Order: sequence, then structure tokens, then C-alpha cells
Amino acid sequence: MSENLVWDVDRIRADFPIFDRTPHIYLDNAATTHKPASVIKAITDFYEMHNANVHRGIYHLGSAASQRYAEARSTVADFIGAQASEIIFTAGCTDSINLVAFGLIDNKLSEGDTIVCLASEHHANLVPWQEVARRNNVQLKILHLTDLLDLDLTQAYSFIDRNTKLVAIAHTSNVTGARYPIEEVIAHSHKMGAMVLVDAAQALLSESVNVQDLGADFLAFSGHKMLGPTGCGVLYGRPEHLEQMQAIRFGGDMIRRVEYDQSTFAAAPRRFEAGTPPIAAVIGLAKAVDYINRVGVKAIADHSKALTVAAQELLTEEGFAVLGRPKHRGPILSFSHSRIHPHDLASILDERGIAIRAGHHCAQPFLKHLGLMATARVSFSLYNTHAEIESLGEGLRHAKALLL
Amino acid sequence: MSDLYHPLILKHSREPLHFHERKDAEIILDAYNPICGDDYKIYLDLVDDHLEALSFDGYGCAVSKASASLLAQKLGGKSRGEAHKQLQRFLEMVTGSGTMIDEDLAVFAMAKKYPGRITCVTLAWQALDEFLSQHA
Repeated sequence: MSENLVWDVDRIRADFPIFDRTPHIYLDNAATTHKPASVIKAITDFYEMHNANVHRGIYHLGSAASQRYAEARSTVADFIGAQASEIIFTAGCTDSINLVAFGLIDNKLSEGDTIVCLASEHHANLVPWQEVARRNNVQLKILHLTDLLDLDLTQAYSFIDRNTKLVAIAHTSNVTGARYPIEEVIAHSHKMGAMVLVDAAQALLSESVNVQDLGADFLAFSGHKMLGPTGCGVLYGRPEHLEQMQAIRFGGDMIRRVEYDQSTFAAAPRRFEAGTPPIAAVIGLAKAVDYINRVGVKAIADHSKALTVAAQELLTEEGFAVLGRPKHRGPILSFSHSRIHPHDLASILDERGIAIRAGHHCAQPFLKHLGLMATARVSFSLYNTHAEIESLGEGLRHAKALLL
Repeated sequence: MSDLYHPLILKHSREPLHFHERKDAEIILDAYNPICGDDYKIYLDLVDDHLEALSFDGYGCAVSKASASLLAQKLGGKSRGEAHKQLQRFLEMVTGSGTMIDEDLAVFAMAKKYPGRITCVTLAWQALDEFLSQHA
């Protein structure tokens, strides 16, 4: 696809069986994306033809499953410019962040240290840090945004100081779509001796992410927001950090030698993957990466960006207030109307077969800080079309006629 | 035309009845839905075991506001026992298989088709139910 000059959205849509089975307009890609047939097939193929546990079998199926699992790790690692040994498969982005919080940072904090979180963080990248801060009696500092709901670097530079142990920051906000200047934040944080965890849950379809270029200490993401199945996510960590990080889940697979009174543990990444991993999901995620690579991240990003720009114009024209005006934005827009509640809007659009998100987007304190209880949100991906945005426009006008 | 947004629901959401704050009320109840942020207060006095001066205020969607408005209209002035009975009948209708004799309240039966919105319909009713159950 990437060699094609014209984006053939019909061809893309044909890859996603859900549009045939259940016709609808899906504008909630920030919550989860749909899955291409190749991903679904990889999962069913695994269960139908290759099912076996990993790291155990002498028999053929077992070693083949182990090999597929290992290949999947390499595929995912390559996708973000990492080594396979630097990739841990987790249950999802939340799980990845908890691993860093309780496997590493919890053991590293001492009096006077601080953790810095961005005001707009998803609960997944806020609540674990609250908990770690509380347990260690250190301060969790919240870095607030500008009036445009962007990150002010000057403010960030004075905020992140020599006491900062860790900075937890989203690559792209799941609320406003703001793509934060994380490269600068990382460079400054390293100068101050702080580690940075990047929540990349919303990042991987809106630009190509390379952990070497970013320089992030940790990068966390979920498979299901990037065309893969639910139940598996990824934590990338720099090798020197993974070496120091302790397991927070113990059991089979993560050990080296077990005796009744004590055990020794495997090296990373196995040390962090206790028990049978979500093998089929991991294989599915690798298939999703293959699909993304075949279409091209840039082509996907450009298409989603064009839709976002068109949707922003539409929303403004129809009298809705789009939340924030960040310098760079991913394919996500939150919006509100003084006299239309987001849940009513979502219900009315749903009756027209349009799926949007309404609520606090797992960022309660952020919305509260902005004086909002809830917003509506649309988010775009590779299979969305300009015609769908026109339908959204009709839906918005219908909602206004009904409710105002 | 929308099933959920029945003209009566739209009317009560645009112009809710008994929609005012009353800080000196004998009883003030919270009707808060943490999932969506809808947040109302319900005000009432218990006079001779009757629900008097029933009003509400706060923030929420058209459905939750209309349902709170109808709650205030229908249950205000009722005896505690009668109010509780009608309230439970309403909750049964919305969440189960019950029916409603009151035609106005029966419009909320449509909520069954919208599982995501049932909590909007029941928000104020559940808050009052909880109070009446505890103080039966």
C-alpha cells in the first residue's frame, strides 16, 4: 500500500471484517481499534493448528509455539527500534506502567524525591504513581498545561529538577490528542538525572516511534489500540533499567532455579513474564505490526490527520468547542457544547450508527481542573472516511434540532 | 425519531420541574454517577411522614435530568410508603419486567433498549430509594 500514491480506503476497509458484519461508523479508535482479518486469522490459526504452551515442549508443537512467540517479540521490537531482549509482554499498557512503578521506582525512592506527572495523564499513568508516591511518602507533582492545553517547555524545565526521580508523560493525550514535545522533556529530565516513562498508548498509529531516537527510559503501550487483540501490551525498557527492575509477579517461567526455601530468577524479559503468557494475543499483535508496516505508519498517520483536520472544522462550524489547541495533534478531538450533554449526543449519534466516546476518558482530575464533567470525543484511524465525517455532521445537526 | 428522546423527556430536560437548590432542606441526597459525572442533589422535608418540598438541582444529561424532574413531580407530597412503592415499581420497570400505570413514567421503559443509559434514568430514583430503604 505505501507505494500507492492514492490512499485506497475501500481496500483498507475490506481488510476489516467487522464493517461487513456490523455496518457502523466507528469514531472511537482511541479506546480500541478494529482488527484486520489477518490478525484474527493469526489468532484462530494458532488455536486451530499450532496450539501449545511456550518454553516447555520438547515436542514439535511446543517448540514451534515457542519459536512463534520469540519471532513475535522480534517483530514488535523492530517496530519501535528496540532489541527483542528489551521488550516485555504484559497484559496491556496499564500493566506495563505498574511494572515500572512497583518493580523499579518503588524501590528507588527516598526522602525528598519527587515524581512528575502531566496534568492530562490517563488514570493508567497517574494512579500507579499516586500509589507509589503515597507508599514512599514522596511528592507527586502535577505539571499543568497552558491555556491551549499544550505543554510549556520552559515551565517543564523548571518543574523537573534534581529531586525528580521519574517523569510520567503521555506521547499523545487520549483526551485532547495533543502530541507533547516529549523529546525535549526526555533530554531535560536526563540532564536532571530523572528517568522518563512514555505512555505511548495513543502513539503508534500516528507516527513512527523509535525508542533510540526518543531516548525514553521506558515506553508502554497496548496491542489493542494498534489493530492487535486485547489482553496483551508491551513494556520497552532500557537494558540497564531492566537489569535493576525486580519482578512483581512470581511463578513459573520467570525463574532460573527453584528450591523449597529460595529461588533465583531469569534475566529480562523472562523475569517479568511469569506464568503462561497470552501467546495467541502476542502472535496477533505481531501480525498487526506486519499489517501496519505493509500499509505504512506514515500513510496511516497522514490519512488520520486529514480526517482530524476536517472534523475539527466541522465541529467548530456546528458550534461545538474543541478542547485545546496544541501545537501538534494526533487523530483525537474532544469537544463539548454548553447546552448538549455528551452522553445525549453519543446516544443520538449511536441511533444513527455512529460510535463516539462520551465521558471523562479516564482523566477525571484533568476534566475537573478544566471545569468539565465530561466531553464527547472522536478519534480516527486508517479505515475512517471523509463520508463518515459528513455523516457525523448530519448527526450533530440532528442532535441540535432535537435537544436545543 | 428517537425512542429514547421521547417528547416528554425532551420537555422535562429543557424545562425541568422543581429544579432549584434548597440549602435548608431537612434532607439532602446525593445522586452522583462517577462513570459519567452526572451530579444532582435532591432536597426534601419529611412532614407527617410525607415527602414535602421535593426539589433537585445539579448537572447531567437530558435523560437523567428529565427523570429527576419527573421524580420530583410524581413523588412530591406522597407519603413515605406510597413514594417508596411507586419508586420501586419504576426501578423494576426500567431494569426488569415490571410495567407502569403512570403514563408519564412509562416513557422511560424505552431505556431497556439502551443498556448504557439505564443509570441515567435511575440515578435520582436510586438515590431516593437508598434513603427510603434505610429509613423505612
